[in-house]
Amino acid sequence: MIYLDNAATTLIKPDSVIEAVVSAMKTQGNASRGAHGATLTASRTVYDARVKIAKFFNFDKPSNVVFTCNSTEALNIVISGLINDGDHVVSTDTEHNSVLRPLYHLRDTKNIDLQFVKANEKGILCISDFEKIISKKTKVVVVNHISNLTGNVNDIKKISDIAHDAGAVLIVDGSQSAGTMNVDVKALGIDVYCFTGHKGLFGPQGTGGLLVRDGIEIEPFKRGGSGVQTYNEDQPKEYPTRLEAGTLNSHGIAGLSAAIDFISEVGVINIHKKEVELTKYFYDAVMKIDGVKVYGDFSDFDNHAAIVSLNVKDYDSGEVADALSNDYGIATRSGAHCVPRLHIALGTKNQGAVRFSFSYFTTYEELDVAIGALKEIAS
Amino acid sequence: MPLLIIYVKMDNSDFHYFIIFDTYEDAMAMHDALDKASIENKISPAPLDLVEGVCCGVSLMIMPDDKEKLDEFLKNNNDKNLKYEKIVKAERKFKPNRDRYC
Repeated sequence: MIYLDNAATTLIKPDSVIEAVVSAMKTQGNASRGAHGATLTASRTVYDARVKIAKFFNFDKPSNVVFTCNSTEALNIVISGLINDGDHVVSTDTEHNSVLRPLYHLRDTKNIDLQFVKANEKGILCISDFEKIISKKTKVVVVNHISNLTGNVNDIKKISDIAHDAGAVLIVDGSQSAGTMNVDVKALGIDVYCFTGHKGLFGPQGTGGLLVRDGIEIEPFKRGGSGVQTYNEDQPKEYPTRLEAGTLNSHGIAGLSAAIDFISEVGVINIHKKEVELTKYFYDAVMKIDGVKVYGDFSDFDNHAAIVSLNVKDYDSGEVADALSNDYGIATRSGAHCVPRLHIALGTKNQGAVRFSFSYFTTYEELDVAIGALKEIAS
Repeated sequence: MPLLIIYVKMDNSDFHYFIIFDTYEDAMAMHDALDKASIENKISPAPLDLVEGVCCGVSLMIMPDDKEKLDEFLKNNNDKNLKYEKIVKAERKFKPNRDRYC
């Protein structure tokens, strides 16, 4: 199989990640639950992972690295824990349902004032539109770093400046940026960064988290066992315990920790560079195929993710993806990609799109097969 | 095969000091910092009777001989990420040198 669905989940993981999970399953007890050897092994793994993740994203407070099971959970935690009745919230057309659905739910249940920055036909968000919509009444701005459909990278620093000038908190969905490009949460001015472990970070599914800037008080999403402050009737207020009730996925976190080691060793800059080259190679080739239409802004490959979404003539995207899978053994993702507003903006609500997404482990030979397949399908 | 010699400090003291924390993460951070500063410490269950149960489930146990070094370290510490709730002194309730048959 040629796996080109890395924006959904990276399939090829470093061996060290797999070995770390196996080793953890054989040796780790329950993290933060006591002081015997097995629990300390788990606690050490989890603690080291927090420290590594903080360093990886240039975040200076390891104790505010909160583990979740993925970005969706992280986004639900921060959206539901930070937004109150009647708050003015700004988001965008490019968001995933992991942002949209929690926001729609709050709109319907807490009567929040929800406004969206529109995407144009290339899926681009205009910064001036953020300036128009964000005001002193805005409590929270939620935006993705990279679109999972177009691969466009949003200018987080500029959005952060606008949000902070208005006194709003900026939540960033980093599902597609974590591990695929250098993310410096401090330099970008991010208040809460949500990430998942199983995509660009090469970690196991069931891992992810959020980085919470000091001073941001998120109401707990769940309450329960913490291994600490047992006689406190409320969930402890200190991070990360505040948001981590229940046993952590320390086996998965061991894998995520090894994945961070791998990326740090290779260098996230080198990973991004290789992915940019792969993307440019594929984009240049498919743009020459009659009947292929590519979506997104490819004016600056260095500032673009390894995602190329396209359609062939007026063919249903599902039919194309199925042909790619059945006839050529190529795994892609068709349909709506959980981004309803963006598909509407791109004019692809009915057709969907076929998304090709690459990783550091993708080869040019694999891309050549995919390019050849598209030529045949379009012929 | 190289011979591995592990030096274990004899602990015959009648009491210990325990650093108490709000979270497990604070305890791990302090443990690493004390290790780096060569101040002997052991991750240990917190003495609940002395902290009324309102604390992190673990503590760092410090032997009396090292208390002075610990105080000096904490006095000079500028790392904002190193936090602790308090330090308590706890007497040992059972004999460290008891006879053992199993």
